[in-house]
Amino acid sequence: MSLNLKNICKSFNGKQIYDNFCMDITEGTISCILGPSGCGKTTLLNIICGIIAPDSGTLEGFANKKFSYIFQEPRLLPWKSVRENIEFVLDSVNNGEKVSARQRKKEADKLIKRVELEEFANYYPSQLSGGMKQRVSIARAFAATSDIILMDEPLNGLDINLKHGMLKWFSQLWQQDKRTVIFVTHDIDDALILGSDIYLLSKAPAQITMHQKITGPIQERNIESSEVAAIKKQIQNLL
Amino acid sequence: MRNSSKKNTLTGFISVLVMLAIWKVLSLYFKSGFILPSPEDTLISTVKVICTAEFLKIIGATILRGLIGFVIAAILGVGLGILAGMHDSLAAWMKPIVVTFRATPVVAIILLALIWFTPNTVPVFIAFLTMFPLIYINVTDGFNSMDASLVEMAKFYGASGKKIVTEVYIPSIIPFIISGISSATGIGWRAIIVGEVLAQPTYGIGTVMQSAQTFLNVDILIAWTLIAVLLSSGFEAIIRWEERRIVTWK
Repeated sequence: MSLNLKNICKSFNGKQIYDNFCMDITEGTISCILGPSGCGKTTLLNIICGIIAPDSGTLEGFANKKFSYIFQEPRLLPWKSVRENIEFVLDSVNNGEKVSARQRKKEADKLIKRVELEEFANYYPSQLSGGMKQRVSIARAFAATSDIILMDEPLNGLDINLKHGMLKWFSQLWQQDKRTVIFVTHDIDDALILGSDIYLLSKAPAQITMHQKITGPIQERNIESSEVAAIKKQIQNLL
Repeated sequence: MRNSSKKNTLTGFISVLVMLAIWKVLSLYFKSGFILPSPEDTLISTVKVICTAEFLKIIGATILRGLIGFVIAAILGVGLGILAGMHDSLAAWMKPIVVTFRATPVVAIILLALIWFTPNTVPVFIAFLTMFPLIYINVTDGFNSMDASLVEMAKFYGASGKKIVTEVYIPSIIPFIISGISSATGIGWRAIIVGEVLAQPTYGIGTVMQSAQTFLNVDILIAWTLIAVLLSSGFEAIIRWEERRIVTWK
């Protein structure tokens, strides 16, 4: 199954961001979108989830899809604990049946465990580091009932070790729950580690200048292998 | 942190001692209990006032008026503040009303209230009019400084309107509500007592202060002033305690 963006046009204040832009996304994969700053990567996510309407063009396969969003900043509710922040997005009704508070807590705890924050379940966001907050944000995205997870450069500003940890936690969650992921990033390595498909966008009005499929399971990927290094070099040359 | 807290307590204690010393020096200078009684005479008078049979009735009447005015002001201030925060047209409607409430001198309101209301209800009306704008403005300020990205996140995850109001809007403005209530009660108690002085209800701190002034019982007047200060400080302490209990996430 594929999700398609067809002939999308969008302009802001006379500046054309997209002009007859087309893209196909395979469901159940991680599509990474790379591109120069200001080329409209975030706009693309906002068009996909319906926050912004395109001036023209069509989105096929997105009707009735539910979305989770991992924002650039974690956007946790400061007055709720880690567990409560995750419970916040859990449906209180599922298939017409009320989901009890106990069930919601159990579900939240399961995700907290997967991102290794069990000890911090009752902590408030102000008591967590930036990396921990973003882990909660990732867990929250998987807690919500959604078909597509949108990620808008959530690893920005994290140091290299934290970033690797974050990619590990994300991939662990995704391996168990393979939802469609659209991951906007400016970091080629992040895209090469996580992506099933890498799309490289040009400057505005953006077009896809390169589409690279990456095969093989995430956990077996070696960023320093000659094959991956060659793709990285190719992307660098086009950026 | 603990040392700094101890130091602040000590500084506050020294400040009180200095004030008492100045008071004592001035009372020695005037040499007249009709102008300024000494701190120890005032303390004795305060104890006598507290031991009178009518003390509880007097203080109870003032507290009751304050609480009634406060509850009405808090319900309307918080309720209308939330609605105005969510609807710009209501905020625009409320703006001239609140500005008028704030700008009108309290004494002008009291003089009008004396014509319109009974002596028992004048202080309640005054309490409401002084407290309402402060609470309302703090709530709307809370809305204006709210992190819009959190509301966007809640909407994105499909939270219902009710859930957004109860779990995003209200917790976000709670510190502002508490701050508004704190400033409102501080000013409100003073306004209530001024209202009682002028309206002369049967029981009330303002009523007994007025009669003490009439008969030049300055020690009694200062004793009731101290009681009023303790009352206001007590409520302030309760509000701060509640704030620490509710706002645990900061």
